[in-house]
Amino acid sequence: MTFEEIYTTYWQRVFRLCMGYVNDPDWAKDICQETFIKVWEQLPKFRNEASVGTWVFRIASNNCLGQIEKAQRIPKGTLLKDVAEVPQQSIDKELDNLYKCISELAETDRIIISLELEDVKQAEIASIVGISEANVRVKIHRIKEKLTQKFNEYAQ
Amino acid sequence: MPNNTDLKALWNRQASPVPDSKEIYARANSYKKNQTITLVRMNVLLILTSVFIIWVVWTAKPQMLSTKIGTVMVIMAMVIHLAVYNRIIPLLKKVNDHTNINEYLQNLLKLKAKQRFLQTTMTNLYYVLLSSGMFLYMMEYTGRMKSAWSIVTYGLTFSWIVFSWFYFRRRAIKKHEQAINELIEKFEGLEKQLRSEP
Repeated sequence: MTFEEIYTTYWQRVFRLCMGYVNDPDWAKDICQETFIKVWEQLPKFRNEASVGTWVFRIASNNCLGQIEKAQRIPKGTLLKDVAEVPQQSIDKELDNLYKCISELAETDRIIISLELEDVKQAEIASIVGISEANVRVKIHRIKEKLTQKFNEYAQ
Repeated sequence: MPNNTDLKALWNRQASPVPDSKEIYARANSYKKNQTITLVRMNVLLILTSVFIIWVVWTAKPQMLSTKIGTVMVIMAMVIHLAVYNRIIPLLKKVNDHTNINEYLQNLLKLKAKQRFLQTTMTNLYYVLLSSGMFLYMMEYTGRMKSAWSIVTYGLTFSWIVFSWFYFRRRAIKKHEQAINELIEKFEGLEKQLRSEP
């Protein structure tokens, strides 16, 4: 696969993953760009040990977790408060609620559920996260329960 | 109550226009340019510092060995400081992000621990080299002064060194450690999330 092909195939999917993690379109776009810069730089060294998708999602997920270092400079809670206060550009309230609910989950849960919603196979999620497939299955089940409950609370 | 399919359908409604890939190339090139500029600046600084110290030694023509040793120690302190903060620590920040999340977090934790150790050790080394270097350097010149003046000079220098050792050095180490410890704690928290029973 060429870089252009990877870029057009995975941009939306990586963007959604990043949105699931930070719930801020500009920040998500920034992480997404950083991810594709890394993909572009590392593509010549990519040896097909994993599928391209798994490889791209691994870089994106690690990049999301690495944001903690950047966020260290932003006071705790400011981001979510800002997001809540800024009028949402999106008119899709249901969609906004979904992202808001995901952003309230634990960091690694946000990544796992985003990959699941992105229709990534559970075996692949296990390989991206580095836990067993059985563990992924149970985690997804629990996260979905939690997410659905939160989502319904927001919907009321 | 939304089921699995509903959530997936809802999730997929999030669409963002795919930016032109040229943006990626432009940003990647700007990163590379910035890295080159930093590298050039660092090397120019090192060369200039060395040239300056050699010039000082050359023109002052010190007679005593202690002055020369002191000069070398001061240069070393500066070179180490520049090298550690501009080259080694940024290298430690580059963690392999092609691994799975679990390995990535473990690697990050190891690197952060190394960074903490390096920063503390190097800050201590920097202050020891700089203070001892200055002391040795001064010996020749204060030896030529009247004893009262040399006591005053040594007294002032010694007070300054004690102050910077107990204030600036401590503050620098505390600042670095606090930032790194916070990060380590957060990364450990993420690792725990993965290890916890679902």
